[in-house]
Amino acid sequence: MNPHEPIWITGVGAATPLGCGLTEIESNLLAGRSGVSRVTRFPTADYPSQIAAQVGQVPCPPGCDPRAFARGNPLDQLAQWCAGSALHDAGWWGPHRTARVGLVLGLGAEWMFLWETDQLAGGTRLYDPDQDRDSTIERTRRALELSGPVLGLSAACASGNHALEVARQWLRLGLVDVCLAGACDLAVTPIGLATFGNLRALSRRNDDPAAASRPFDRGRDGFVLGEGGVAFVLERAGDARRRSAPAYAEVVGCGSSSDAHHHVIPSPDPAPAVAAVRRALRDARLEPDQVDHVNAHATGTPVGDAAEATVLRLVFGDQADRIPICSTKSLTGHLLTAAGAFEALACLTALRHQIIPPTINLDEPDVDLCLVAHQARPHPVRVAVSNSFGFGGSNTSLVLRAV
Amino acid sequence: MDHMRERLSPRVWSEGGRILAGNVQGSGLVRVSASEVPALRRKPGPIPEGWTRTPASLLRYSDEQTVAGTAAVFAAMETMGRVPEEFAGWGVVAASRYLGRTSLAAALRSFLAEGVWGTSPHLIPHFALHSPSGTISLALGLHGPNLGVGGGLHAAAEGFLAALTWLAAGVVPGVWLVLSGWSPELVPDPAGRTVATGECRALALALVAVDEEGARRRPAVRIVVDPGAQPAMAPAPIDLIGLAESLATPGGPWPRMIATDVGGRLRVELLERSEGSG
Repeated sequence: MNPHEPIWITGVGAATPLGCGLTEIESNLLAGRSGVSRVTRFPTADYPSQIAAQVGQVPCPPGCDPRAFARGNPLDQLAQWCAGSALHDAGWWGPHRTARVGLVLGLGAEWMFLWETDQLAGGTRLYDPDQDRDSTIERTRRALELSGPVLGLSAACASGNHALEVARQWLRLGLVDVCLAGACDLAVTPIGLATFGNLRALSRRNDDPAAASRPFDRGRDGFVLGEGGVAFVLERAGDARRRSAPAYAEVVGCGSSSDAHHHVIPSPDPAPAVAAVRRALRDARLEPDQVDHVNAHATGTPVGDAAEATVLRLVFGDQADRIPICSTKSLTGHLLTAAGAFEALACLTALRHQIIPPTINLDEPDVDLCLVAHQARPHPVRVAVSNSFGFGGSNTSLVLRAV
Repeated sequence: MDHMRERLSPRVWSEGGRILAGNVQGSGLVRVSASEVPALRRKPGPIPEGWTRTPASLLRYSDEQTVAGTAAVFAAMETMGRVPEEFAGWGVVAASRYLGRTSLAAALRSFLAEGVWGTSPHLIPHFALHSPSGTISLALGLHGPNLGVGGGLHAAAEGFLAALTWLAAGVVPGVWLVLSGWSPELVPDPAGRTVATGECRALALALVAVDEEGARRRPAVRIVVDPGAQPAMAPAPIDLIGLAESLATPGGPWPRMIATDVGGRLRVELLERSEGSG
């Protein structure tokens, strides 16, 4: 084992409110196009929040059986598309059958989703455990013919960063040759929208969906529920070089902690979240002044946005006046379990194009940070940090570096 | 915050086919019937005197597995003669099985009867995969990372994999690995009645990276890469929680080592004591 073996991201697969596939997503991200709209999948007249950032039809990944794919449930389809298209993107499709390919996927509400959708479609799964023998991750492994270890995990909104970190460690420990890592969540369901709405967490700006997600803006009134999935292919840099594979970025650091404060409310004590970001930077062997961009967790709740602004100021000090910070949740809503994975993708976009995605709807900032408002900003980016601070006080920070 | 530790040096036990390993410093086991859960909800085990982070309201809406898991950790700490503050930098990996089935059944009935208004907001904080680990970190004041893993039939195997990965990578100085599930599965009928004939089991293992002395004296868990092991999870896995209970009862009538394939050509090995203990 080499504990410092560089680990590269060499493939991306995604289905998000901004589209399916990296080119479409990056185009919408950099153009500042909102993925938020009124929910039409089910009647919402009784809902306090009637808007969400939804995923459209998820395609079958090339090489998979379209009939089997069509028979799968939407979460299986999402996971298979993200993982399968990431393998294609990395050039691993085909050879993946003879390599030890692992899979680490954030799936925070897998069973809730499966039971609810089945029940509302007239099924009996909720009352029959025999129908629950396979998990999403096992079905994904089988559909894609993966032979390495698999792990389903959740740290709420921080899941994607944890998945990338576990994958990085599996590669360094020699458990896998290649590892898929990411997260999927399909929370825009009748119960999902109702329970978050009744938690009084969601924006009620139903008459103007595209303006509803307003991180760091004084006019915010809650976050917008989102859904989607993102998977990355990770491999050891030496292996990627040997096969002349282009890399999106190196995963150079990850840090994590828990608030141990409250089931839902972020801690007023910034120390645990600060510790997570500082650990990530130490892990990356970088100083705060070497960071070129931060994708903030910033969901668009007053308490959460203010808490993160404090964390960023404590970690970066005066550098926070210089480092361009954005919240792409203004475009995508909050993808919950998949939020961290999507925001890692947004960081890759910044690294690839040397452009910071915008925070739309930021008309009246109420925090003192270098925020990229309204329009994307060209900026040299070599190191990007993505913060994900989950419900229940799970804090993670991920550091990505250009290769 | 001195418990906010730097990343530790990676600790890998890699000779031969052994890849990941941890010693079991202590353990706690809780088995409760549905009727016993309410009492445990109010007082989840032997809470140390003066410990205020676990008020009676903390577990009020939690799933039974979260309640049993929290109690198992307190039971383990009492057996070890240690207090929560000593674990402040530790991580929590909670591997639950089919968390929230009865609660979602109730939520769906309420939703279908009353609409949006009748849907509980407690589904979010208490019945997601990360809810048990988050609640345990809250109850114990742990500032290391917390992670929910698995969720399905093979959750325990995934729990071992996640916990030992953290230890091997030096992410945390120690991990509370909490395995939980109903046996048999707690299932409501379509009318909403839950006939609970089984018990909710939770096993908490205090895992640390192996050291030479501990490797000889203490129970251990390890994950071995074996090309002959199965790539897929077995369709009917053995009861890893039950087997791991042998670690909670050293000297019991268990075999000295238990090994089982857990997919990905990996094998989990549970050792009552490590090899070489004589």
